[in-house]
Parts: sequence; structure tokens; C-alpha cells
Amino acid sequence: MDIQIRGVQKHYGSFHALRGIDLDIASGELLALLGPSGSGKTTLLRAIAGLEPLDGGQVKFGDIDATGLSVQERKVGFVFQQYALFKHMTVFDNIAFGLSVRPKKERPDTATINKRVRELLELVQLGGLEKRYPAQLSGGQKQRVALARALAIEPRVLLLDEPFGALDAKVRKDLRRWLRSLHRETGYTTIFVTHDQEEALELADRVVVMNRGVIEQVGTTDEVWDAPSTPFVYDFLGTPNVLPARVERGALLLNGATATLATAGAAPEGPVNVYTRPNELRVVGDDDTAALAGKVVETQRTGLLLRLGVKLLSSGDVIEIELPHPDPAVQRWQIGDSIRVRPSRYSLFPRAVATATEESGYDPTLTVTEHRERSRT
Amino acid sequence: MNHTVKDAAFLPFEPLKQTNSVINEPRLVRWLLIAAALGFLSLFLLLPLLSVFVEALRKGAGAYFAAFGDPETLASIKLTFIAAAIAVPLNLVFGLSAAWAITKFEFRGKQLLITCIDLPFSVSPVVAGLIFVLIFGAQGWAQPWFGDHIGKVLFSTPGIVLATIFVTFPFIARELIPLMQEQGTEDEQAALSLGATGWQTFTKVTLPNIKWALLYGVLLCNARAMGEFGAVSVVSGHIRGLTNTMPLHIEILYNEYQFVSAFAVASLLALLAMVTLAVKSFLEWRYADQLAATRRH
Amino acid sequence: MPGLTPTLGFTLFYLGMIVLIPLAGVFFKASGLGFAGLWKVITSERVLAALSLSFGAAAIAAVLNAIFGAIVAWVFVRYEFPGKRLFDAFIDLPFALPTAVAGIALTALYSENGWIGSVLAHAGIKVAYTPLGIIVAMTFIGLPFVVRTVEPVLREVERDLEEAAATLGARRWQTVLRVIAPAVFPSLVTGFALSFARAVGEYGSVIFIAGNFPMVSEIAPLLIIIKLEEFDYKGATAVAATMLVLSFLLLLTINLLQAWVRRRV
Repeated sequence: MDIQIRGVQKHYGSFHALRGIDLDIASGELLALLGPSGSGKTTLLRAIAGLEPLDGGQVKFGDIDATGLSVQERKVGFVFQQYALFKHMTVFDNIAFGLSVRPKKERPDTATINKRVRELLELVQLGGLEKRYPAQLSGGQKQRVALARALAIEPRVLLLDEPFGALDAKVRKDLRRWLRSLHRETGYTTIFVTHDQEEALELADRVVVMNRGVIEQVGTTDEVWDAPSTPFVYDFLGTPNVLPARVERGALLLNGATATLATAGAAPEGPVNVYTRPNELRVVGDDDTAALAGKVVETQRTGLLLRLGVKLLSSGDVIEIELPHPDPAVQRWQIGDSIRVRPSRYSLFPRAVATATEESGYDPTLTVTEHRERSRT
Repeated sequence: MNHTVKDAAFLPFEPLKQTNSVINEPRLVRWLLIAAALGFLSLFLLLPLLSVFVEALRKGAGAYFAAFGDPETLASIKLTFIAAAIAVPLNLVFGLSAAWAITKFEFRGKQLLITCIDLPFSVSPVVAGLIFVLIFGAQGWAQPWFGDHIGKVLFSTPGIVLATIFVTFPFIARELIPLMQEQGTEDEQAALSLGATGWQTFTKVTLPNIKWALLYGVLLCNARAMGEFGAVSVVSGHIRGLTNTMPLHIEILYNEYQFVSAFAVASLLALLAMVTLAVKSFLEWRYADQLAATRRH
Repeated sequence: MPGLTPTLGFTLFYLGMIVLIPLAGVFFKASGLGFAGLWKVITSERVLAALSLSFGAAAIAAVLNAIFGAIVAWVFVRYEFPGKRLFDAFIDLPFALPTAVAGIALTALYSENGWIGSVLAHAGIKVAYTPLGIIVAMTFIGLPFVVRTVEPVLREVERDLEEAAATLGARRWQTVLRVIAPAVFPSLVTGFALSFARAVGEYGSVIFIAGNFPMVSEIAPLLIIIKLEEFDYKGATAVAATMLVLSFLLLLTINLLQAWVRRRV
């Protein structure tokens, strides 16, 4: 079932959690809501489920306007971050719960419930564990019980809140793959919330990047990765170098440097920030006039990557470069070496926009890891 | 617990305070439940407390204060303070020592020891008094020796103190054991490794960590010590002006239909109870993190 | 870690002197009666009446406390209302207020010219000096136990669970009955047991309101005192030992029941 979200607003006291969200989700799509803590991603998921009453806007499931429907009436399958399994019920009873609480007229008979639960147990590969209690299950098994329980009510959509947040890395990888194939098998429209960009990009058909109650970008993995539409998305999906620059008569002038780069298309005139990722910077020779000159101040080899910290001569800023496959025969970078680099790919954002994001509360000085740590606490 | 809270973890508000219609009862049900709860509490707690003061002041402030001019009343107040002044410190030392032994060491039978410490809670106060009558009474097995060497225990102050110690026995230990269990032994081990003696470790490291829980325990212990009735009643002998504590004196006054005096003395104990509750609530509110987990709410 | 010998030594010494040896004395004394003697005391009409009154009234009071204690705990954990802090502090009043004070206050309230008693008298209900009064006093002193044991457990019930039940289509009453109640039940049983145990042995708050008519409103602890005053030490000990054993058996049953419930969680 497809979902349409129109102008959804949510306040908590003076805090504006959702600032007019518009989003269309296609039937059968696997969609990720990605963002840091406080971005509103979980609030949006809960709003779709009907767990958060809205202050404005509309949620539609297909042709049904769900805005006024209660949680019970919405029939969404919601998988909670900590699974929220009923501890005093067996796996079987947990999965059967949604069917057994239906009003007498709609309630399937015992045999039908039994059959349905057994099918679901097979689907989530937990056959034989139906008599266990949640306390006797591993994290991954609990996750799958929660999923089976949500699927038992034949939901209109499947909503998962940080589905892998509470699992360790190994289990997380396996479950991710399994969820992907389960989605392919069942075809439920599925939305999941995550703060882990790797998880979102790997699993989802489309990713919705959220920040401070607004959607920053919606797109496929390739789209958000290759063409981040805002500085926030850039920042959140990596640790880009940000170079202050100016655009004058269609040409880009890096502040204090002689370097001039061709701008890609129509760039706004005036002060801009150049966003470029460490792996998008290339080392060039002395003859490249568009290059930035600097000195190596830090070298660090990680596996197949060589990371260099380069202090720019012009501004004194230290930028980070990532070089693939360091070949000792070609060049051994030492601290103090002179180096010239130029961005092979970059994006320009008017500096005013960057300030606007700061005002909206996003702190660009925080690294992505810091955001992730925050969102875990 | 709630993702909304988590999502907004570093924001200065608490969304949980918002009523969430999804998991709340209809307004009418909420009001009925609140009314039932407060009605029950008012009927069983507030009204009795209020009536103590109303009855005490029924004949005016003059009659109220006159009640305290009676030498027998004063003697009962004095005896109550003496009993508490002996029982509370003794149980304090015991509580500290028991909590130290139980929480800092591993030994067999620890659970049994904890259960035994709790025993006086599950013994009727009257039975608590009875056991001392059996020991020190006219046919008591310890009386011949005590009578010869120490003096009268039953129907005098020592008996009253003993009975008070028995009924207030677990209060302080019970407050300290869960807290010290929670705190573990790392702090003490660090202090010892830095060269502190055992006593220094206790006074400089352990004691500051448990001081509020200790105060809490002392408070409850004292309230019970001053208010104990059943156990003391059995061992006191009710000798007016000599072996009557305040609660026993209240009984005598009440049975003699001196209601104003009875309620006047009762109002003193009720005030003590209110101060106890106030300090207790303050400690729970201010030092919740430094009281044992079982007390946090 | 230093200090095991002195602290454990003192603990055991003090525990032995104050609690264990004196308590053992009761059973020693009781065993002096022999089984037949013990049986004769317990099965005497007056003792039987007192024991069944003590245990029966305590059971009713504990049930009342379980019902209202659960409601109070629910209201204090879930709802906001003015005066909540104050009421919350007062819940512990029965722990802090001396029993004798509670006893005369309740008697004043429920006697025929008291605030509550006079209202009830119109309805033809007599509370003071009847077994009903005993139940009132026992409810008073047992009140905090259920509230204070249920509260923390109720607070621990994750809102996730309730939301999960709602997304699965459960109505509110179904969620309360099938999700919350089972989680809280063991603590309710504990609170009930504590409240019951306290009420069985209660003396101070009960004797004023009870009227103490033999065979009607005479509780077992009072009977012990009466027997002591008659210098019937053996009779008093027999009643005391019976109370101890009965309470112990009851608590043991409830503990086992609870362990059984917990094993399933």
C-alpha cells in the first residue's frame, strides 16, 4: 500500500519536531529515514503509525485518510527498537496476540490462528521455538519474533524503529541481508528508521535524510551519495573538507589561493563553501594552476587507504585527503613534504545557506561520529 | 524507553510529560481513578492524622498545653527519649557492621543472615515483648542470674530498651545493605591500594558514600523506636511515671477518658511522624541517587 | 578488604543476643508443653476465635489494600495532579505514625460520634468496637506495603509494550488486562503478603478500635497479653508460637507461588 504524507507538523512544547513533512512512499518500497538524534525521524515513523497525535497535516494509506484513525484502526506493523515483546507470553502467544485481541466477530478461530502463527514462525525461521519465553531468546531471535508479531495482523505497512540498533555487528549484518530478502518475499511497504548511513544506503530502495524536523533530501543511494543536495547531507554522509571560496563571474576562487576551478553550471555569485570529500581530492603536479598548495602535517595508513593531513599554505586550514592503494614505490609521503592537491569532485553551497543550517541547530563542527554517538545515548 | 525522548535527548524538554492519547485512559476513567485513590488516602491517612490535632485542641490551647504540665507525661516523654537514645545508636553500629560484613565479603549463608536480620519485621510486636518476658520474667531462665548481678530487667528501663532494640533492629541495616551492594567494593579497594588503613577507608570513603541512606535509616529507626507500643507494652508493667513511654501513657490517658491529654501527647508523636515524613521525602527527592535503588521512586 | 572478623563477629553476636536466642526461647518454651498441651491451648474456643479473627481480618484488610494500593500506585505513576507530592509523602504515614496514635485517632473517627462513624451510624453500620473496626485499623497499617512494592514495578513497565499492544489492535482495556496486569502481578502478591503479615501481628492500632470482646473482637496478640497478665506463660507462648508458624507457612506459600510466577517471566 502506498503512503502519502502531507504537511505533517508536530510540536513538543516549544520544540518543533516535524516542520511540515511531505513525502510519498510507493507501494512495496523499502524506505529508510536517516538522520541524527533530534532530526524527527522516529517522530515521523511514530506519526505514520498513529502513535504520535499530529498538530497538522495528513497521512494517507492508499485512498484511506488515516489522519483521524486510532493506532488500533491503522493496522500498521510496528517493530520497536527494544522489540517490546510481552515477557510473560511465549513466542507463540506474542505472535498470536494481534489476532487474539480482535473483536469476537472478526477473530479467527483457534485453528486458523495456530496455522497462521506456524507459518510466520517458518517465515522468520524460528520454527520449534514457539514455547520459549522472550527472556530465553537471543537479540536476533527477539527481533524476528517482533517482526513476526507485526506481520501477523497483515499490516498495511511495516514500520521498524532502529531495527538493528540493539544488536551486535555480526548479527546486524546477517539480519540486514535477511530483512532485505524477507522484504522481497513479502512485498510489504516498509519504512525503517536509522542513524547509521551505511545501514540506510545498503538496505533501502530510497533514503530520506532528515535534520531538525525537515527533509533534507530524498533519493536513491546513488543520488544522496553522489549529489548531496545540502551541506547537511554532505556532512552527515561523511566528513567532507569545507573550503571557503568566492564565485566571481562564473569562476570559483578559493579564498586566499590563486587556484581557480571551473564551476559546474550556474553557481551563485558571491561567497560560497566548497564541499569536497577526502577521497575526492587528487595530488597534482606543480604545473596545475588550479591546485592548492600545502604541507603534509599528518600521515596515517589504514588498511588500503593512506590518509594525509594537509595544512594549506593560503589559509592555514588543515584538510584531509584520502589516497587509495598507497604504492610505496611511487611516493612515500613524509611530514613536512610539500604537496599540491585539487578537488576532482565538489559541490558549492552559498555560505548563507550554511549559516542557515547552523541556526536551525545543526552543528557542523561535530563530526558524524559524534552525531552517531549522541544518537546512541 | 521512549524513542521520542531519545531522539531529543539533548533538548531542554521532556516529551513524556505530554499526555499521549494513544496509551492513556479516557478522561473520565482517569478522573475516577484519581478520585478513588485520593479518596482512599484521605479516608485512611489524612483524616486520622487531622483528627489527632482536632481532638487535642478540642478544649482550646490552654487545655492542650496543660496536658504537658503533668509530671507523669513529662516522665513518659523522658523515658521515650532515653529508650530511643540507646536503641538507635546501638542499631546504627549494628547496621553499619552488618552491612560492611555482608556487602564487602563473600561467605556461605549470607542470604540466611540477611533473612535473619529481617526476622523482627515479621514478628508481632506482642510476641517480641513476650520473648523478653520469657527470658527475664518471674520464671524466666535468665532472670536468676540477671536478678543477682545486674538488677531488674523486666518492668523497668532495660526491658523497655531491649524491646525497642528488637523491633527496630533491621531498620538501618536494611537501608544500607542494598545501597552498599550496589556500590560494590571498588572505591574501598582503591583507597586501600593508596595506603589508607581499614578505618580510614571506612570513614573517608565508605561513610561519605552512604551518609544519606544512613540518615534515612536512622530516621525510620527513630520513628519506630519512639512510637513502639506492643512490645514495650508487654515488658513495661505500666508503672506510672516510671515505666510508661509516650505511647503507653497515651493508652492510660485514653482509657481514663482524659481524651484531650491523650491526644495532646499523641499530637507530639504525630508531629514527629510528620517531620520524619518531610525529611524522608526531602531525602528521596534531593538525594535519590544516593539512596538504595529499592528506595528510588 | 579488612574488617571481616570484627564486623561479622559483632553482627552474629548482636543478632544472636537480641533476636535469635530470644526467639528460640519461644519455641523452647512451647515445646515444653508437648504437642498435646499445645493442641489443647490452640483448640480452645477463645484462642481459635482470636486466631481466626486475626488472620481473617488481616486477609480482608490485605485484599482491600491490594485493590486500592494498585489503584493508588497506578494513579501516582501514570497521572499528574495537584498535590501529588504531598499525597505521595503521606502514603508512608503508617510507617511513621506510632500505632497507638493511629489507634486512638481511628477510634475517634469511627466511633458513633466521630466524623465518619456518625455518618455510617445513619446507615446502620457500626465500625468501632466491632470486627469491622479491626479491618479498618489493619487496612491503615498495611496501606503503604502494596503501593510501595507495586509502584517501582509499574514504573518499569515499558511504554513500548503498551504501544506495541495498541499497534497490534488491542483496545486499552485489553492492554491493561493482558499486558500490564501480568507484569505487575508478582509485585502485587508481594505487597499483599507484606501487608497481611504486618496486619496479623498488629496490636497498637487495633486494640483501641476493636472493643476487645472475647470471641467477637479479641485479636490473637491481645490474647497473648491477657494470658501473660494471668501469668499463663505457657498459654501465651503457645498462641505466639502458633502465630509465628502460621505466618511463616503463609509467607512461604506466597514466596513459592511468586517464584513459580517469576519463572515464567
